Amino acid sequence: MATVELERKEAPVKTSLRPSVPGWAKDYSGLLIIGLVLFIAIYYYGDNRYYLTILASIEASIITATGLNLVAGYTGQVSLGHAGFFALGGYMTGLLVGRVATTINANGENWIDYMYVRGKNLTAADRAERDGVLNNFNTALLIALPILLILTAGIGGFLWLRYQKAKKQPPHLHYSFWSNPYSLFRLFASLVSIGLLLLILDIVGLTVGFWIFQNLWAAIILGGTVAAVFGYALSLPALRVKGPYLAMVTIAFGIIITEVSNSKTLEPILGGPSGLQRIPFPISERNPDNDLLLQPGSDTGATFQLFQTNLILLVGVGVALYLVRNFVRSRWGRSFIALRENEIGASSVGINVYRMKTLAFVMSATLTGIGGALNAYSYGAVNPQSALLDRSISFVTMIILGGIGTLYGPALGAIIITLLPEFLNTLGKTNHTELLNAGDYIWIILFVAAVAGAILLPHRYKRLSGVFAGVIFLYNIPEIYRILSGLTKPLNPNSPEANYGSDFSPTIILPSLYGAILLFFLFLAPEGLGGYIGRFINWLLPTRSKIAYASVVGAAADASAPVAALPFNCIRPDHSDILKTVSVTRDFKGLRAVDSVEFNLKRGEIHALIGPNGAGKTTMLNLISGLYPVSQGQILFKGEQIDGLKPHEIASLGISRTFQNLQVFGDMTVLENVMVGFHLSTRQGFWSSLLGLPRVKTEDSRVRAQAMQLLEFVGLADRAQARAKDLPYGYQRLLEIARALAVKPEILLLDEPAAGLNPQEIGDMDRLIRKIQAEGVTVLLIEHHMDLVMEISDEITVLDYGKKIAEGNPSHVQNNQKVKDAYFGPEVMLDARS
Amino acid sequence: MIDTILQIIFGGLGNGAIYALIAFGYSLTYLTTQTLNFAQGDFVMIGAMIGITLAENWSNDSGILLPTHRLLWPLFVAYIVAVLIVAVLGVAVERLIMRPFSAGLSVSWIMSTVALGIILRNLAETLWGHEAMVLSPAVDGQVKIGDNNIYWQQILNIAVAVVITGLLFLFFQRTRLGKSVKAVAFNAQAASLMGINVNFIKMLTFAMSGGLAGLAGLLVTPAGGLNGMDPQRGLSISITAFAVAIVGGLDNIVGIGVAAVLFGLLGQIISSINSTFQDLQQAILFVLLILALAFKPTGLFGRQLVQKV
Repeated sequence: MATVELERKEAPVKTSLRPSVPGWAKDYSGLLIIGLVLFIAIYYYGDNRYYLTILASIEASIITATGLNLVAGYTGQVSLGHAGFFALGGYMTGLLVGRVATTINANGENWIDYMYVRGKNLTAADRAERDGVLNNFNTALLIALPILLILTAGIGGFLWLRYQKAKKQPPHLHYSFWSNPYSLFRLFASLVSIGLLLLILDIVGLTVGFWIFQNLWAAIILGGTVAAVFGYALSLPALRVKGPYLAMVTIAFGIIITEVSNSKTLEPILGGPSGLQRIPFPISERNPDNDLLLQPGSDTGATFQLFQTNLILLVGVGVALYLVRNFVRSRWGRSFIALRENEIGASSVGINVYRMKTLAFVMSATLTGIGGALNAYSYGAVNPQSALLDRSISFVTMIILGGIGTLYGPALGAIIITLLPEFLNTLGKTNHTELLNAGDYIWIILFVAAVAGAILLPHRYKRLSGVFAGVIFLYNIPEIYRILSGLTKPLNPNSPEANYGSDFSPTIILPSLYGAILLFFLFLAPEGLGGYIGRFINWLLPTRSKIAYASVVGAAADASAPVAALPFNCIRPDHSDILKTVSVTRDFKGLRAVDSVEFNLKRGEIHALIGPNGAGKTTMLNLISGLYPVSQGQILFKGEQIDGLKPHEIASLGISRTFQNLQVFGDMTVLENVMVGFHLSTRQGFWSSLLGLPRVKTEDSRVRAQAMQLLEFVGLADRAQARAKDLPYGYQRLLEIARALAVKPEILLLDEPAAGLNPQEIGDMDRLIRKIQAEGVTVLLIEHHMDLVMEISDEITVLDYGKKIAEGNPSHVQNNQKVKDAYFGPEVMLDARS
Repeated sequence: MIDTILQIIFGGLGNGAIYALIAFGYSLTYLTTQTLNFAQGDFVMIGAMIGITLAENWSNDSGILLPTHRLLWPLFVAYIVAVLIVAVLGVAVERLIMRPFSAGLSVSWIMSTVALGIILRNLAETLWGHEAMVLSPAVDGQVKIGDNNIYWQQILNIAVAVVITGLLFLFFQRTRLGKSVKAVAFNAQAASLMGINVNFIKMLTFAMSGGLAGLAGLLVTPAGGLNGMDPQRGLSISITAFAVAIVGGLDNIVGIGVAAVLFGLLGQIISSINSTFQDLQQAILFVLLILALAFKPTGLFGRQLVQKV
């Protein structure tokens, strides 16, 4: 204990040499820097149409990459169909505000023109017609609004009453989303608030006078919503099972979008291969008589509007990054990472893994759809090309280059990858009179040296050398392709055109470059640029919250009353039956692992489940915690049937567990592991987490303090900032116990907590289990260390070949002949041998 | 009417045969390593391209390979060499991508093989150009069934797929090696304790998977007469084959066979309705796939997975 104190005091001294900043300041400054750089670039290139187009594309890509990162980085599932959502958003914009260039009726206008009267050269009559439509709309709104308000109030009131009534009743287990009054009420409230927001935006838009500006909101919302709906539909088949299914289904989705938008039959609506064109800028009303993209004369006006569109996109980038930042730093983001690290572990603390994955995917699709909608505005067109697989791959390349699972890395990646074709363009066509020039030889020598270094150098420098070789290779890919093309083309000195590589244009090797970048970062720099920059910044400016944790520990120790504040359900151990199994059976393909086992768990006792290897103990635990379905029989918790429930539902009832094969969240810190355990008792909602409301921060720091106390309780407080997978085995067991206690369980299931511990640690474990019991938690324990079992158990159940062979207190079980036979073999055999 | 049906059946079975060969490749590697090669489609294309380069009197307009490099080997030799080269590529994928990344997130191996795929595709486009190149059929000519002319190659493809399915079945049931593969699939750790060289088995399945992809490429190129092979076509065939593997169940050879026939026939039926449906053939198939997976997440014939804790 003394050494622990010493370390704790020393830690702040070491870090105080460098200025420390709180974590959130670092987060937001990243956002500010990205925003500022883009802002300056937009102003600097404000009169250059070409650069503005590239900048707009960068901004749309940042929104998309940030969205994709939610799925690929935080929940660890890769999607190869995000270009599909991107195109979907674009087509929504195109259909809503754009015009179809292909089919034109007798009057020289197509039907979308006719419907919307937008974007073409407006005559006075057109304007009058449009204003008439607008006036009608306003009148309709005036009539509809009161009716809508009354209806809303009625439905809201009804749902609220239902919710209040449901709160008084005991919690029901089998609520689905649609039958749960709570979730319904929340959904309704969310819809109403979105509606109000839209109304306000609309009124603002009308007042300011950019009436087409409203289309921007409509397009963003429609693009986002349609993408979200498709994302949800895709998550049904793709996310229920682990494996390559999501990648497959998303590829298929991209192809569906490409084929449908390319289709001849739908050409009148979607424009076929050439897509929807001449989409006006969102603020086009400023300059209504220009047909923006097509008339060369209106170039200045169009550039100014592109500049405005860029600013709108920049606001979009800022909002998207801000919301995603808040979200991933909240309990929601923590549970995303938790399920990426370990799905079983995540479900054991009450996280509904499937629902969380769906949420991440839908959020990601929504952001991508919005990115696509905005992109269509800035390009003024959308076509089937935007749904191609190569584009999806380029989105994934952005996040892998930028740093998968980092907050701002994807934005960095989006900037670099979007600029890549421009970089290739600047290379242009080169004139080479020799196949290999002097520069090539130097590169080849450097490359060979770097590869040799990667193989021969001592381990420390291997990676560096490999990275060096990789960079040389990446840089020279255009040159390699030029040489390849030069190899086969004979040089004709008489023709001025003919030289090595004259017919090679660097832009066609773009896909190869994406591929090489992917391989380079996956193999040599898996953290991505963002990851390494983040590490450098952390080294330069350590996060202050580390010291804050230390002071939390100090405070807890000083207050010397941590027990009262510990997050336990303090229920008096009245020795009533809390868990009951009724002839529970589990078959695995002909093997009966558990055979009609019955036992009762009494509140407040320590109950051990023992038996030789393969007796079915862990299977029994898996049945109780819902990992396996029961083949026959029933499991009752406080009189209610719980078999058939999912693991996360069982955790939510107050049964949590640890695992024989540890299921910690390896890449999270010890403290974060325990904080994830509080998932069920934290109540920060989706919207408040997204907006980063103050109460979210309050709850977060409360949870952090409680998690710290739990770590103190199990004796891991001084390791709070270590990465879970770096902990020694025994400490990981303690961590799992702390995490399971964070669920505030009434029953704690411990699967071989003392496995692999030394005698002293077993003694500690003994004390810890007794401490847990003293807090009123019922313990069901599987253990092979008989000393420990006999010492602490109130009751023991013995299993052998799936059947219960004995039950009772330790001394009773110890003298049971069947138990002796099971463990040591029948006595007859012993006799025979002696 | 009967002619249309015959056409659908032969066309469907012919396509199904190709899907099955590629899908077996996905299944084999998934069984032993729980990974699969997203560059499989490009392996299909590379197999065909190598075959063409070695055996054909080819020409191209936009690639950097010039017809002066023609080799004009016998078709049979070119087949063997092409299949072997793609099998070696498969081994390289196992050794260089799957093994280092087997422990981490699936993003790593998925994106590495995807990256390999785009590089191969881009390389092929640079070498051979983006126009389709034709390969002369292994068995020339057509046979008249009813009023339909069916290419002999089509029938050969069906026969090859049936034979390969049978051989795979025998391989798993009868040979020591096949049983080792099954053992590794069931529990790699236990298998290695029984003296099975797990790494060798994994490499073997990747070699088989690559070889099957190469063979599929060589068979599909001359199948419909003058379709030929271009750098993008392998990808589009293999994505349908991927769907077949998933609907059939990644761990179920027979299921994949059934699903391949199903997909082949459905594709033909859809495209025989009218030109709209023909345009949207793949889209409709994939919508059906997504619906099927929504109800049976592990495929129509896949087993329910039980995770060990």
